[in-house]
Amino acid sequence: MQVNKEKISVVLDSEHSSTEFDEVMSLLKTDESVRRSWHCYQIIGAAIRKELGVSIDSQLVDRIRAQIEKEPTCLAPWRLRNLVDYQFFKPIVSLAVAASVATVAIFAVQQFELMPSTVINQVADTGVLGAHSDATRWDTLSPEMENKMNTYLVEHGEFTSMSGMNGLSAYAKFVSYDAAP
Amino acid sequence: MFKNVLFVAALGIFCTDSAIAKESAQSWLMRMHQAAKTVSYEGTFVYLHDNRIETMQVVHESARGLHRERLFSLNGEAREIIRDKDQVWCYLPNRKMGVHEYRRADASGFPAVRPVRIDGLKESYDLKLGAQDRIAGRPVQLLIVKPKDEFRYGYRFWVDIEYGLLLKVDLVGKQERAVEQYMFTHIVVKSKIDDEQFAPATPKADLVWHGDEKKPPPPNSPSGWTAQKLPKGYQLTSNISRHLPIDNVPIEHLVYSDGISSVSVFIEKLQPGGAKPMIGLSHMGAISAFGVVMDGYQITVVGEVPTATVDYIGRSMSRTN
Repeated sequence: MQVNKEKISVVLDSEHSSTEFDEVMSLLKTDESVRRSWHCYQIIGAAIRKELGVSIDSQLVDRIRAQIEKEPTCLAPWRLRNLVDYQFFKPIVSLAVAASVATVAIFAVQQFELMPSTVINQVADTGVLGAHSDATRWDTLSPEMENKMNTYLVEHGEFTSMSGMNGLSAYAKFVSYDAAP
Repeated sequence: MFKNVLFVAALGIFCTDSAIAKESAQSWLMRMHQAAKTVSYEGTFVYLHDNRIETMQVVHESARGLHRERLFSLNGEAREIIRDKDQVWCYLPNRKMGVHEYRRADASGFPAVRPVRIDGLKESYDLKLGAQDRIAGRPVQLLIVKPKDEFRYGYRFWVDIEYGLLLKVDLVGKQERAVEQYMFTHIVVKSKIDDEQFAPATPKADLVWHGDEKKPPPPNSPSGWTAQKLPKGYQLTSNISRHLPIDNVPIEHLVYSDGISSVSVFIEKLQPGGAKPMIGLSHMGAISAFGVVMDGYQITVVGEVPTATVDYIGRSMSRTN
């Protein structure tokens, strides 16, 4: 597991060889724990870089940091301290920190994954966007109609303009569609 | 990362700082349009909506005017979509199901804003430039697109200064609130992408496939359905008749766009003993849908627009012959 995390780290730092990249992509396809780690790294890395935007709960990083501090087990205390101090020293050490943010984030995630599941859920459920309780399924529709609407959605995606990520919008919705009843 | 500057410069989308400073909001839209058609990349993006964060891996190749792409969900079910110049495959491994279609849109590229429509955007939106920032470690220019009425969402586009790629989008609803957000957390521009990157995680043989077995015949002539009234700025951009995959029923598909937002209208004859029709409004995140039955046809309007828009267009549909 640790080896896999190191490989992910290398890819996230863009220091990978083509073989390493292929290996990580292969792991992402087959290993749920790797997918989960990758997901957490992305989110926390983006949160630390303040790239998640104003709509994300601005205290997300603080909550993660506070939870890490509470953890009795500390795999990497000096890196944890870097994370805790990050905001205070950012103006001074921004250039130096920029190079290591991804690494800091990875160690933060290692702590994050040690949290009780209730805490992880709490962080994951941090108020992201919108007010609807479930936006990954069509509301009010029968299963049969849902299938038809999803087909319409893919069809619509073929004609979507640049309102999404270069046309990815409708496809992203389809890929993320919640199939669970 | 991003070592292929010469490659992109050769495409004519590399800009100097001074040139960037002089660019208008319209110019940035044009650059987004160009980059979507010319730049190949692989990366990871997050899709944030309501109380959820979805992470997706994407590989996109633009080469010699042709495009192919693979989206792979990194959360939950390993759903994926692979599309090339004329086909789309949707993999739903948990359902043991796949959907295959021949693409309907212009095979020359993904639909996007055309230059002629960019001038027309002023009718529906106020465009202005915001601050420069960083996304996924890349310098970006913020472009603010504010709607002039309630028939479309607003947008905040963060555009990669060097390549013109769209690295982050906020879909903005009422009170300037972001309804949805797409953002790359990692992206690498590539001059070439290996075929293996477009291989599915789930073997095709593991799924039961639905949809087109062979390339469908050219679309039939439209049957005469049209919207009698449209919200300001929207125009008919496509109208084709064909068969829908899975249940293979004939439908007419009309697309209305204001240059950024798009709305699809699907018209399907109700079958005796068929599915119960959809009537009224439904939604999924920022996507709105409206259904109505007219003259024995199910009319379904779908779009990433406020409910007012699908309701307005759906109620104005009529058959002229």
